[in-house]
Amino acid sequence: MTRDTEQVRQPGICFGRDRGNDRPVLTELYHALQALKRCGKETVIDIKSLPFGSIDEQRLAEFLGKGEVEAVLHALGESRITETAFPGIWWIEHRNEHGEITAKSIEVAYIPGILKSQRDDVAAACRRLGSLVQLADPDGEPGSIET
Amino acid sequence: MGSALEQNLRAITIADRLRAEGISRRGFLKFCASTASLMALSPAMVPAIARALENARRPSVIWLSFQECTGCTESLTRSHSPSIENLILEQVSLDYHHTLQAASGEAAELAREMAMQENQGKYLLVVDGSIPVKDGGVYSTIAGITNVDMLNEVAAGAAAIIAVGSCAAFGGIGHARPNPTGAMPVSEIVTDKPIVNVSGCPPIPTVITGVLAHFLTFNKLPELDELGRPLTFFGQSIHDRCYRRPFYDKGLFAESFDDEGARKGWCLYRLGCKGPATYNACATTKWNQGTSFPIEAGHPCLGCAEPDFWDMGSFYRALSIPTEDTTRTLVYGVGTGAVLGAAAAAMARSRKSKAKALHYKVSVSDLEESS
Amino acid sequence: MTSVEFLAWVRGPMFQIAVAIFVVGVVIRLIEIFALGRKADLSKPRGGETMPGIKTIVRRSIPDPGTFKRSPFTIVLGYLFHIGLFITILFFVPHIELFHDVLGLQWPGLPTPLVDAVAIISIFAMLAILANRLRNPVLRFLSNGEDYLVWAATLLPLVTGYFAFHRMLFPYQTMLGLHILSVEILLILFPFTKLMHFFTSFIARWYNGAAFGRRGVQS
Repeated sequence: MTRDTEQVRQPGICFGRDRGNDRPVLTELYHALQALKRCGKETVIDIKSLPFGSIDEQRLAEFLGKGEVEAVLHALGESRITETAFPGIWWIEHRNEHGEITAKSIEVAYIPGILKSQRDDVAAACRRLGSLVQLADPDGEPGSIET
Repeated sequence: MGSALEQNLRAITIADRLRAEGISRRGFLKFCASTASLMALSPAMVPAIARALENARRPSVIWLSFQECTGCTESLTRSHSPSIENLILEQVSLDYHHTLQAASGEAAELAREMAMQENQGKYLLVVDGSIPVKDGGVYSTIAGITNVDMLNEVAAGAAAIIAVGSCAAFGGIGHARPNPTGAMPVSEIVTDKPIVNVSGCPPIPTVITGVLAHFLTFNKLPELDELGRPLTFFGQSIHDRCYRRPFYDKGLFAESFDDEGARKGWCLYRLGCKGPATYNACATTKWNQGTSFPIEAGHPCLGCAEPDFWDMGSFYRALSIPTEDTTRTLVYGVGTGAVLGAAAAAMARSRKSKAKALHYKVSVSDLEESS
Repeated sequence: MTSVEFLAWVRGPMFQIAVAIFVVGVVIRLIEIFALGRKADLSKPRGGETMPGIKTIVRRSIPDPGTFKRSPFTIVLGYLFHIGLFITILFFVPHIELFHDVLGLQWPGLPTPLVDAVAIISIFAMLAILANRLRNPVLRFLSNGEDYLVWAATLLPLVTGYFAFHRMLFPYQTMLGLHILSVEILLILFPFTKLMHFFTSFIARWYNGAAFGRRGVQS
């Protein structure tokens, strides 16, 4: 049975795996990158929703390649945010605690929003740090408690 | 169930709950991104989803299982619990579910009644299984209450109803000829509440959670097709998204299971595939976390998301074959035609010979006499 | 009625009704024709009947040069659409599945893109036939309601089939339902209209050939 399905997955035999849908995405990315350069407009493309065969996605990933930055996010499982060989184009893969992919997207931005420290988290950190600093140094100035 | 704590818990928003569980803002954004993907919405919707979840309260959900095989619940819960679906399920307060709840007997029924009372007009009713109506509905009862009565009672105070599975949506296998129990879909019994039909036998788990997520996030039901199914997941036919479509277009068909064509992955039309007439997300979303779907496994599509798919002709005969016995019609037709034709011919011949019998010989003088 | 119910109805009871009317009607008419018999020919036969009859069926499948010169358009278009129609009906794989189920016979089909091309050619041939019939004063004079009805009944299955395959005009379930319904209409009209020429033209050719053959003349 495995042999048969492997046969089916071979590129030469089953055209459905390869739809050549990677090229239009590259064109879209080019225009998005231009928009970023010109007026700072950010774009997100959801790869999971595109009619991709597995070969299309592979080709796209190979073409975009890897850049200088690779970030791992540990929240509800591991996520990888990688800058591709084209600065401004980021490849984002979200996984859950079981390692399964829950979202896959390409973001065109100076920095993907999710990498920045989030306002709510910073506010919570202020509170936490403030109270810890107070405990550690009772003579010091009380940490400002922001809400 | 009616404690102040529970009521307070219901008052806080979903975003608050996630934060209380220790999920960071980044985790929350990841959750929103995955939810958007699940609902097949554009990533540009993520901020809107985040905003909506920040204001959304935990809805109470009552799940009623009627004349069903429990396959829909199994489909939902047996999927290797990916976190996102778990999270969504955890965001709803599942106040009543036969298979999943710990309580049983009268305690369970009491829990249901209290949940209904507290959330009058606001709770979500999920139904799986068809509802038998024949003979007063005796063919399926819970705690002595017929399914029909229970459905009407609970539906009265519901905000909306999600009919999960082809049985609840269209009547399913119970509804198949000759329908001995008088099985009915939810929509033919409850006519005054918004109903979403999430059909499939069973439905794809992500489709169920996608609909729940939509309700959770936007507090309304998604856009529906003519059969009441969410367009996002049921807007395309299997055929239009099938990876074997190039073979159909070229006319390359498998002729029997595991023959050469089948091994090459050719189209399964001749094996009875109902893909062209079936709308579902199997060909794109697939099953078992995107592993495969029936056609990819070499089996023709049964059309299980469509009404009365059990009565659409054999699963293994092509869509172009009529569902009833045409050969029998042909034979009877020829027989009838022969009898009627012979009768007509006999009548015509008898008229002809009668006319001939009226002939008599005349001579020229006879004719001259009469004129 | 939803599109699903419509498709289930045309694939179900309606198909049986149409086939029943078709078969009963055709059989009655054929029996009537054969039972009518011929006037007894009391002359001495100068040749056989069977072989000349069969030969005439074959020979009259090809038009004689005179007829061709007089109305080339009608002849060419007629051949084009008739051959095209039979190819699309008999050599499209989903149709072969239908015949296999009903008659128990199976034969290899043609590649779908080829059948598709033949279908579109046949459709255009039929449209040209109508245009010719309307433009030609003699044909126009001779044509009545039945002629146009039969033309429409033959064109509809081709057009609806083409639309269904290419997912055009209506959603597939509706379009396929309309295609099957159009075939059912054709089947029902069959025994009551000149569509009977499907059978009677061969019978007529045989009778003619047989009669002439008996007299020792080629027909």
